[in-house]
Amino acid sequence: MNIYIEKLDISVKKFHLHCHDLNFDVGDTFLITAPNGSGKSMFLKGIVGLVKTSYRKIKINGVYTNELNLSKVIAAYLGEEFLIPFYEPMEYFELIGKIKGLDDSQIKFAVEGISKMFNQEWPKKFIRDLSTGMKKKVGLAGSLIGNPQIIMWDEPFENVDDEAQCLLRQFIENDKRLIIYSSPVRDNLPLSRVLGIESGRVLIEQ
Amino acid sequence: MKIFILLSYYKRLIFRNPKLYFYFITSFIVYFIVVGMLIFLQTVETLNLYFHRLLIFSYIFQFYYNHLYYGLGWESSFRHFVAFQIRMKNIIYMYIFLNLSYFVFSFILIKAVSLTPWLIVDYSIFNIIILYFIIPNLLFLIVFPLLTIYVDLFNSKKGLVIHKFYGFPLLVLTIAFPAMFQYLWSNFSVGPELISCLSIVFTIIVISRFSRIVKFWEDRLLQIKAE
Repeated sequence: MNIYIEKLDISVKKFHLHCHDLNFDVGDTFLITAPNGSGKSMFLKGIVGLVKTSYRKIKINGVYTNELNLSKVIAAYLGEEFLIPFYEPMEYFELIGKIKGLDDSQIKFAVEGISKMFNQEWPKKFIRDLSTGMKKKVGLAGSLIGNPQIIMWDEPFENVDDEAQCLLRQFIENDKRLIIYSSPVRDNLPLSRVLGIESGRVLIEQ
Repeated sequence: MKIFILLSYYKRLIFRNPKLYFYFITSFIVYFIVVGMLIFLQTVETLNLYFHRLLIFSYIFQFYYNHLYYGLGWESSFRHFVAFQIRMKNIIYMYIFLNLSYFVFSFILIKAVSLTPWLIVDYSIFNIIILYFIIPNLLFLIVFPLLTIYVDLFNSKKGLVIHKFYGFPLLVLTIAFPAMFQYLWSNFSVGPELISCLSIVFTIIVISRFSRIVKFWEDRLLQIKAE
């Protein structure tokens, strides 16, 4: 499983972001790091087609993204807009499972897995009534349902408690899938590559 | 995607958002007021009211409130979930299915209260299906995304923006189109054939260009609030 960005151009008002000829392979972990407001989230949203792009040619396993149902291959959590405020966390997980075509037992198994991963019992409250950190946990956990091979997270460590940060770091270190995540600060995780954004261009730093 | 998943989402969207109760209850009450009014008027035999007109009125509220207002997500806060997980294509199918259910409900209700004879004019069943089901749905598919071009429908600071800017044009559209086609149908010798042909051509265009229409919907939804 790999993502190949042939060319990606995003222009929103005065903001421009350009990226071309980038390859992400399964088993690798990528960190996109840049100062706040430089376009990390925009870049990730551009890959999954959630912002209007002026040019977007991206292949996943050799197939252009416009021919794919991306939610089946990519686990994305790129902000609170991925949550449904009037659902409870368990209902949200079930909805994602059903959308991805899982049956009840598979959903139950997946939810057990993510609950264990986050060492968490999910509150029986609407998502809109949860704290910012809990919302993030629900979003990150929900994105993993259905066992997709590519994971894209926007600032996963932001707002979550120490324990969850630790668990997330372990997950990123040990998981064998392709993980792309953003952070305004550089982590000490063993990363395959670090991407930076300089003057609106996405560049490989190492 | 299975329809029951979408209907379960829609049910929660309506019943778990207090902001929507007012609009839902209003449309529900007005619908039955209109039905009651028409029954009364027919009882006193002051007007020869057509079954169709009731459907026009009832349709306005279904179309205007349920579709456009609840639309793609009242709050902008979950539009990425809609676009990424549910996908716009499925949302469109869901609304067409809801339209169909509502249409059948109206049909049965009118029959149940014996408001008018079962079939009023020649080709009546086709007339009703074409003018009050197919045409409004075609309008819905095209008009909604076009309306979103200039104004941010989901901007919370302008929560009632649809009422302010689009209420009147939408009412005119939803009344004017079926009424105009109804007039043509009833008053010209080739009216039924003409309207049927137009609807068929229009439907074929929409079906053959459906992926483009979906793309346009997606672009509109994602462009609504540039970040």
